[in-house]
Amino acid sequence: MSTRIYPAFKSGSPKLRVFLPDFWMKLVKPSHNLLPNQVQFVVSSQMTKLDVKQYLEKIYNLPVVHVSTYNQMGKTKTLPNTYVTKETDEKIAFVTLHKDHKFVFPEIHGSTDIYDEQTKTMKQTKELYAQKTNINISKQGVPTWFSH
Amino acid sequence: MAFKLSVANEATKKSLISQCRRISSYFQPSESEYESKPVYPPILDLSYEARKERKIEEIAQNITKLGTVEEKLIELNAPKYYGWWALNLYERVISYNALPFTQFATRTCLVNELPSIYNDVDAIALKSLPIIKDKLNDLLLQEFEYVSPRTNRKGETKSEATESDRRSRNFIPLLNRLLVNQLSQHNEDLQTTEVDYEPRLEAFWSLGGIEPGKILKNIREKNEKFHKGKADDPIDRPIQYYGSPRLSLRHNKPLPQLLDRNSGLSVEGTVPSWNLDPRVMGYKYKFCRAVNVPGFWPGTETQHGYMSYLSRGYLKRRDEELSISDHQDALHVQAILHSFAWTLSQACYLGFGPYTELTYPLSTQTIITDGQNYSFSAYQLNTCALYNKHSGDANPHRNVCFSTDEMKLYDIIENGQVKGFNDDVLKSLIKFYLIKPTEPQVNMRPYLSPELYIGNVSDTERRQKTEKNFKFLVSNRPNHILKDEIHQWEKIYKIDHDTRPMEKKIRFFETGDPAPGMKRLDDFNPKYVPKHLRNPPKRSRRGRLPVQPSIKL
Repeated sequence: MSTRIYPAFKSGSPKLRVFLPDFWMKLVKPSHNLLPNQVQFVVSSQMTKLDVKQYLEKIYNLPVVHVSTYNQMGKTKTLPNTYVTKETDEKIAFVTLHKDHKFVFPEIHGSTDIYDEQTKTMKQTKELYAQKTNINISKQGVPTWFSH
Repeated sequence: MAFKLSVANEATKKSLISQCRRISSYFQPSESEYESKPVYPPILDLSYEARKERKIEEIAQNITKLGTVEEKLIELNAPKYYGWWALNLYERVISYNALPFTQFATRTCLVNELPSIYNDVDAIALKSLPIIKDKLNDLLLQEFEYVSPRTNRKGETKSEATESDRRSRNFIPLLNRLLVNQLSQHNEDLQTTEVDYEPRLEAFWSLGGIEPGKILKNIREKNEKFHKGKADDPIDRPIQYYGSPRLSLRHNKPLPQLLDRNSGLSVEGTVPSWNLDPRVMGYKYKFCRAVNVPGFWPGTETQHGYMSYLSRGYLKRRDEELSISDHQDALHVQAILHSFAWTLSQACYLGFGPYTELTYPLSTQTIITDGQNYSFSAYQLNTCALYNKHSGDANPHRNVCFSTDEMKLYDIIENGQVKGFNDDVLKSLIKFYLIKPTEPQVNMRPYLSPELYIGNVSDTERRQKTEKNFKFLVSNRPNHILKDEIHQWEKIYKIDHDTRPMEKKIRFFETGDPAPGMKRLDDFNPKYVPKHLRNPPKRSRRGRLPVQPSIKL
């Protein structure tokens, strides 16, 4: 399926051209624990279950057994001093492969040690700040060295 | 020595005296003021988990203590006015690769052959085989060769699944009649069995050991006081099963046990481990009442299941959805779920249930057929309480399912002849009818009062109220007042984003009232009765005893 405009016929023009479809599938980290033979995708919203199955079977030769999809509403957020807005909806597809087939979501950014360290130090700093401000809570607006 | 009240006002004096009387008590001198050995209250573990476990255990005890079957079944629904958020399992909707989950959910170990009890009736089965074979030959020709398929005006038949179901619906009762007629001389108990055609089968149980959902996990992570490092601790999930066998036979005596409850497979059998949310299998949660109905009402005389026939037309519909056919797994799943649900709901009528453990095993037999293919299974229910920790290592028992692979009775029917008839299948079929039900030498209803059912209770008001409420609950009809819900616009503009602060806060999520799902079964305004019609008539509050039954319906 393609929504691109098909070129008008001209005599002597090249024969039927094949365009890439609008369909896309994004492999994502599962939102909750899945079976080892299940994979989660975000797919373009006009794709049906059969399309998802065909896509994986014909292009990637995967043994797809079952596909279930649902439309997830986009998150809402308030823009500062304006309206409530909504992000676009997404279609989520859960694909069940043959039971002997295992899939583990790969680690894309390597180990998360640096990230963990950063969050840890951030947390410590926040706690320290909270402690400091807590001392002065009964005398707000007064410098910390002021003891009376 | 008497005290003299120095109060000027006479009325105040009177009220004071009356209050003093109310809070005073007699002095009861005991013979020896001190015990020789000190007695202390038990030391309880005050951690969150221990308290939670004690609470669940208390609920289980409350249900077990009740005297009649109907009251026990109502009490299962007591915490939820709008029903439990339960996993719904259906007989004819089976996911791909559902066997490990089904075995865990029913705590069943699977054996791929029939138990030894069927070897004892081998000789009689062989003897009666030739006569039955002739008659069955005729029956097969009548049902599958001479009957023309039902079509609409254009000559189209319905889907293969519907057609298969229709054929088995016609064939199974005739097959049963043939076998009962021929075999009742060998097994006299067959004469007193009762036959149900497409009875309603529903079963409810609570399954422990399932991981918490996303919302609960988030709540636990935020609440560090109680749940530090315990966000992933397993929880209970209620399960409701709906099914309907094509035909079921029941008897006033139970089937004999297939194997010992305290040794062998019943204790050592392997059950696959599982902790995922069952929704990964494609099953759904729904609000539904906890209903246990084995196809008849409490108080029926013939209340022990003997055998049931299931159809397998759904497999054809399932093949269209799945690109791989795993018929054998699906048939095992169907057999296990049906047998567990049927024996569990029967156990409920004997005073056991999802919160009361069995004291002796219950067994049943199941045949899945479409006329040509047969799979036989025999099931023994050793444990039915699977809540909380009973689903894990703390429960020593396992249920056992003996299930054969599917076998063909014949290869093909051509030119008025049944070709490739398999005698072994017919022999297994005959053997299922030759097992004699026996009266067990145990107390069959240890957790029921002598009245057994609410119909035998002499207290008219209690009887009528419980009867009426029980029938309404198990009817699965919706409540008069539907559940309050949050509309989508409210979720966006009131809960997620506070865009309407000036509006009057009247909805349940604004006033801070408990969520409608938390409403208890007895939490409603009773029907208005005029004062003069009340029995007993309304009196003043003074002198009334504090009465608080667990459910006041």
